[in-house]
Amino acid sequence: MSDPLKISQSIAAAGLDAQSHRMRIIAENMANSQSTASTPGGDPYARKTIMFSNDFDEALGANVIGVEQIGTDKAPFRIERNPSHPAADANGNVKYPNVNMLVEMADMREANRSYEANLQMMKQSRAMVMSTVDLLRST
Amino acid sequence: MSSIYLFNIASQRSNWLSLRQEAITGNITHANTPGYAARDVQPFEAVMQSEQLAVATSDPGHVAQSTRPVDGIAETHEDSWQVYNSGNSVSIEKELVKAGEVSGAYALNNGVVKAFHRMLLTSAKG
Repeated sequence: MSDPLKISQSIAAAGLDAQSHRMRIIAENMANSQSTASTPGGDPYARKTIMFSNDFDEALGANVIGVEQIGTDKAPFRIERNPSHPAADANGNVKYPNVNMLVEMADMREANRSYEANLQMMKQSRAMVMSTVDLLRST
Repeated sequence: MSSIYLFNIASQRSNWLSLRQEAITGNITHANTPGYAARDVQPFEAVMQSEQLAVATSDPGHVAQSTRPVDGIAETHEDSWQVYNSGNSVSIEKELVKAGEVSGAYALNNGVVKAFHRMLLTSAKG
């Protein structure tokens, strides 16, 4: 079994990676919040969702976090009437993505907080290792 | 020798603290994983008490009994503050508080070891 503090840092690193992946998905959603289809009556950009999983890392001997899958939100698209739009269907309705800016912002804040918490654990584990190494100094 | 015993117990404690830090990091990492239940390790007192006393070897023919490794600390599901709708029971605030405790205890432990080591050195150097 390897050093628990080293494992701790690896777990925190996996957490940082997962949260930054989540931020990428959120950024994609926000950037595409107005992306309509290019063909008349076509489906616009569908909001992406990210799912985390609890995987066992055999090399590390501990449970780390992983990205299980990136899915799409099944919520219905927002429909607005705009006959002059290139993506308008026969009735003049345009489908807009099912992205809600407020939800994305809330998600972004949560990802931000979780990232900070993981970073804090990383710093603390490193400080603990350093305090043990410091026992060798100045004696 | 009692001073050596102190080093032994200090080493066990730092081992236990590292394991606890690992458990806390796992909890924080899974703060957004649906269905994850927060975990913690058994208290240090319980680990110490469950350790049986070693049998003395007074004769060369006696076989020394190996003590239980601290690696085998059982992880328990901790009682959490709240369970979210997603089935996740991690509270980041609580985990950070625990991480602070661990960090402080680790520093104290290392301070004690350092002080004791200095004492030993003082008597050894004369």
